[in-house]
Amino acid sequence: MAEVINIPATEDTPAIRLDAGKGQIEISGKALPEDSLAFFKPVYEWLNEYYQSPLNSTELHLRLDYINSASTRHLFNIISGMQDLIDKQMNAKVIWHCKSSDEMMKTKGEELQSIVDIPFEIKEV
Amino acid sequence: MNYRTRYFIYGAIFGCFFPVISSIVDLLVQGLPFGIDSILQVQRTQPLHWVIDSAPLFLGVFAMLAGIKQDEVMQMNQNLEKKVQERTLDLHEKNSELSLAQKDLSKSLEKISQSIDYAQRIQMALISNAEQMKSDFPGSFFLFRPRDVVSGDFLWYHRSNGYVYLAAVDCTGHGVPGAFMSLIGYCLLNKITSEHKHAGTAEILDTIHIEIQKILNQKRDSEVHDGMEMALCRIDTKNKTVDFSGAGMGLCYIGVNGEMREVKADFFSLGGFHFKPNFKYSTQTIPYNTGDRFYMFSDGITDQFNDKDEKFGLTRLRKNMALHSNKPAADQEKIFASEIDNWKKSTRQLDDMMLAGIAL
Repeated sequence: MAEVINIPATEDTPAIRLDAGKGQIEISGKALPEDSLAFFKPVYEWLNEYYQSPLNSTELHLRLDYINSASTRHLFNIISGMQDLIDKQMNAKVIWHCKSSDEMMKTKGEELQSIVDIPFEIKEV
Repeated sequence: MNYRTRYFIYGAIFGCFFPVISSIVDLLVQGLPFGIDSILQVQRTQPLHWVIDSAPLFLGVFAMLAGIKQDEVMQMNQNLEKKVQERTLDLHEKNSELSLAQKDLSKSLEKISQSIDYAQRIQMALISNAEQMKSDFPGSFFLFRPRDVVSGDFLWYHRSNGYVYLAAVDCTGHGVPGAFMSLIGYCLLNKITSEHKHAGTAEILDTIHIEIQKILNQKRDSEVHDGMEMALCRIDTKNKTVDFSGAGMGLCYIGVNGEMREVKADFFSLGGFHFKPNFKYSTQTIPYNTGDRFYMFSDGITDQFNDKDEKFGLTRLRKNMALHSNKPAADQEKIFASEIDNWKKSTRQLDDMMLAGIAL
């Protein structure tokens, strides 16, 4: 399995960087793929592989400018994967980066923060 | 004849002049008569002539060397020309392939467009709900901007059990997948309100959530997580109350006195899986006065970018609601439409947009 996956951003899809060596998952940009499942499939495959032998500490960095509702549901899945790591006594953390001028993404981050039971940090830039 | 042979002959002929002229000059200098014998004599006695006699051979060879180069250049030219011809032929072929492909594409596009246009007619039959709302509640409007022809956003309006039900629904996806989801949502709303006559708005949402999971065979690990966000109201015109339950879509309420109130929705949308397995939707009951208004809208409006990559945002939308809520419905619809257009300009629309304004 590829330890590091780099998917470059396009007009409709975010950049994704998966680094098993650092235990880091990064999604940044605009997420509005026409076929969200096809887009997130490589991420799920990587995650399933990663969960076989995860690092003691995993960070999910989200730097999203826009996310459509179909992609949000995939985001839930990825976040609930972090939850599973914590249930297995490992460390996992979500870091939600957003522009302080973007009230929509800020609100989305705060709403997510309020419903998950895992460390969830909001960083405004 | 190739260049090397031709140049050799020219060189040799030119070279012949040297022995001829040198022999003539020698004959003149020595005062000998013209004739084969005298020529043979000067050739024999003067060894310099032997060198001069070799001129045709050397000049011929040098000229041939130039001829060889010339031949090479000619060969190269011919190869190049051949290549150009081949390429031109290739290009012609590619061109005709492309124009065929283009024809195929425009045919496919036409077929798909026709199919979607037809689907739109079916979907518009559902959305004509808005007309009934407008006639029952004059002063209400529905601004509807699908991103593609068919839409994942829709408005549902229904009178039964002595109540008026109203829902603004934003399905996951847009275009065709969004429209598929909208049909599921539409049918579920009709089914549940007719089967469970006393169900409150929260129970309706709970039921829709479970029904979507069943219909799409959704489990936590399944691939299809689709669903919808919904703002659902049950208006009791006798007791003048609005029961509201929201699944990821809230309500903006403006009293006849101009006071604005944000009615928040529950976070979870319908369908897919919820982080909290035993989650139940909540209901808020809002007493109203005649002339109060409320607005429901999809995030396609608030999330729309302008050419500076800024979003329309909730603050801007609320500000416009506060400014224009007293205006007649038709005016409001125009104002909101032009606000959105002025924001969006030529930036592409990312999602379906809908804004319902209801005057109680």
